[in-house]
Amino acid sequence: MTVGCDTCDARFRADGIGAVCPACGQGALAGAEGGDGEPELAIAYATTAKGVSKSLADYAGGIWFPTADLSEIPGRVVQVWWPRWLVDAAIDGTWEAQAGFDYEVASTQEVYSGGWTTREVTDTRIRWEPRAGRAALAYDNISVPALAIQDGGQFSGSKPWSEAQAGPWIRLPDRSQVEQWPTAVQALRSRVSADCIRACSADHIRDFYLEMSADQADWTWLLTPMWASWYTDDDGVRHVIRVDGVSGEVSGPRLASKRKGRVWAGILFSAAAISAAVGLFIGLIGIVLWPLLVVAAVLLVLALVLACVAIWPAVHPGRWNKGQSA
Amino acid sequence: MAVVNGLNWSPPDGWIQLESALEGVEIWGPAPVEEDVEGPKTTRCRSCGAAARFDVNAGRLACPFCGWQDAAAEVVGRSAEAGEFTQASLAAGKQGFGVDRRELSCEQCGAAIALDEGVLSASCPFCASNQINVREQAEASGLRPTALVRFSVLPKDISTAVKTWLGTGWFHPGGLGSVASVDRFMGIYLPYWTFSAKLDSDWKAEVGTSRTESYRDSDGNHRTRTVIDWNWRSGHVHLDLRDTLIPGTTKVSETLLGRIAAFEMGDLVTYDAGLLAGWGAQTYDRSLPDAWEMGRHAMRERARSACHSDTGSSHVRSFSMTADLDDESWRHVLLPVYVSAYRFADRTFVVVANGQTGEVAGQKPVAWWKVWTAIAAMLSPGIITGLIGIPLLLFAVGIFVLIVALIMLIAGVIGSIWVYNQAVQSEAL
Repeated sequence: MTVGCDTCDARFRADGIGAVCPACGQGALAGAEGGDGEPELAIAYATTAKGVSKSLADYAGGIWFPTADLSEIPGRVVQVWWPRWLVDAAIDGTWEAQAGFDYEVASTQEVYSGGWTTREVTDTRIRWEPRAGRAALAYDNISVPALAIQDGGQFSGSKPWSEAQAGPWIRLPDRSQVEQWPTAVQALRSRVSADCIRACSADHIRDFYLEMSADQADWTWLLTPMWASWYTDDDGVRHVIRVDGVSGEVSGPRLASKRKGRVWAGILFSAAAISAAVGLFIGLIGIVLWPLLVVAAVLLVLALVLACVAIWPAVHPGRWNKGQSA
Repeated sequence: MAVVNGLNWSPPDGWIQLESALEGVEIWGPAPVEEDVEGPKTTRCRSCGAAARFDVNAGRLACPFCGWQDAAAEVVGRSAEAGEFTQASLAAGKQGFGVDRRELSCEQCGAAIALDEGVLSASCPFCASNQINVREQAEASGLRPTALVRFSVLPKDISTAVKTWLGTGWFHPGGLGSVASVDRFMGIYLPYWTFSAKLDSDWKAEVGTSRTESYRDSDGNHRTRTVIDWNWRSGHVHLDLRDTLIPGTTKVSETLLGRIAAFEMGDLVTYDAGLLAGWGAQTYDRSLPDAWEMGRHAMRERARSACHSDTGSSHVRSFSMTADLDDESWRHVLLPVYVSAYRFADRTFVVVANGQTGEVAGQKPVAWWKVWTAIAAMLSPGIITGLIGIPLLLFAVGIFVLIVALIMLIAGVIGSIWVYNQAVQSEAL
């Protein structure tokens, strides 16, 4: 069945009504329409649930003052197939560029120290030559995002999709092939540019200009393996952590708890205050009993150090979280 | 012609299809410039068909009979085509431009013309037609000249300048200017290499600054003396050296060519064999690597001199420096030189003149009796004063006379050495 998130509009083929959205972590999923069509290719998972749980536990434990709920992410991980489009296309166009070819020239360095000695040096220079031509090329499986927010990238090792691989969650594309055609053309242009440069056997290229038309587009729905989990921060906002199903790379914000930081700052500052008070009291006694002045001084220094250290837990979570947002 | 995007596409004129490393991608680029491999030809007037030659007054190829003039050559000056020191150019510069022909069949009258070694142009002794491109093209040919400076001084003006030049100087035989029989001046384009480079030099040295200090001697007297304080200093000098000239021929005295080397390189025109018509021209016999070795030595010495000046002191020791050469380039050019010889007292002397500026240099005979007389005159005051001073040693004044004699003798020796060197150089080739 098809379910959708009312917060981020992500749609999934899953039996997950009422579940937390694995895309944004905010909304609860409800029944939705659409979801026609079948995936054609899939890239197999190269990671296991056990391995991913361990990666997430390491990820959550790697920061100071973690949000309390962050430690729960290994237990909430779910397997989600993520969609992409693959497009086959043929292009025909003309191009022109300045092709740069390296060549070597002999140079010297002269050294004088009572007499001259010469050191031969070889410099590499670039000879620029104009080039132009025509390109008629065909490309298979140009990877194009199927989601509004999705990184680029090339994917290899795909195999025909079978229902046996399905798992609990399949995210459905939210961008159609028609909508993604301009993006596909951009990707094609990059590939054509690279191939023209390769065809020239040049060492460098500049002022590259390409005019081309592309057609015969054949689209394929590819599923890429992904793991998703979520946690709630101090303010009750949910955040999604994803793990790439092939590389095991973890991504997503891991926020520190400002509340926890403030508590630690309070403890340290209180300790500093007590230390200062006791130090002053002993100091007063020390006016009469001089050896106690040493103890008073130690306590006052300790109070100063603790007060300074107390600033760090108060400030660090905010600064850390700012970096995570960026 | 391909049809792409509904538009016809064809490569620009003069472009050829190049090899592509990828199927499906056509590559076009400019066709390589073909080297001019024209064989020998006669320069004819395009109006009357008579033999045309380069006219100094007109500065272009012209017909001496009907007055026809060819288009003027474009002055490219210092922007004349320059080469880099690639492996290919160094290899090509090791071999000459074309190979020597021993004989050439005149295109005009069919007569066989015997050619001297290394010539680029010739005139037929039978029909007076001017032949250019007389060198035979070798498969792996050397470097052609890319530019030349045209003759702008007429032979008759050079003859006058040489007569005047012969008449100057006191230690030469009297009446040299009128007695010497100067042969006909031969205008010849000589091959030269010009080198340009940027030099960045870092120097380090102990530089001395002199100061005067007071001290008391062993008798307690107050005295002053000059002492030098040595300090390590370093500096950086940047030089942009352009058009260092090195003769590409070993057939003419390098010393004499050095004296007339003040060519104005801003007058360079692109090389055209037609400009050689009626004038002699030689190919280089000093290879590019050998000439560059000489040019580099000249450049680094200029850098050393500039670094010494940069120290700001005449007291320098433990001097060391580096000179990094960058953007090195070379040109193979032809420069106009008049060469002649004259006989005097059964001896032959060579004289050369700059065909652009008219500057003259050469060998001049020396009247050695005049030189020795001058030397004797310079030494005698010191010697005579010394002889007078010796008996005067019996008196207090004698020592002062001897000191004056010594000073006069030293001055006389210095003057004598200078005069002797001038005389030797005057005869030297």
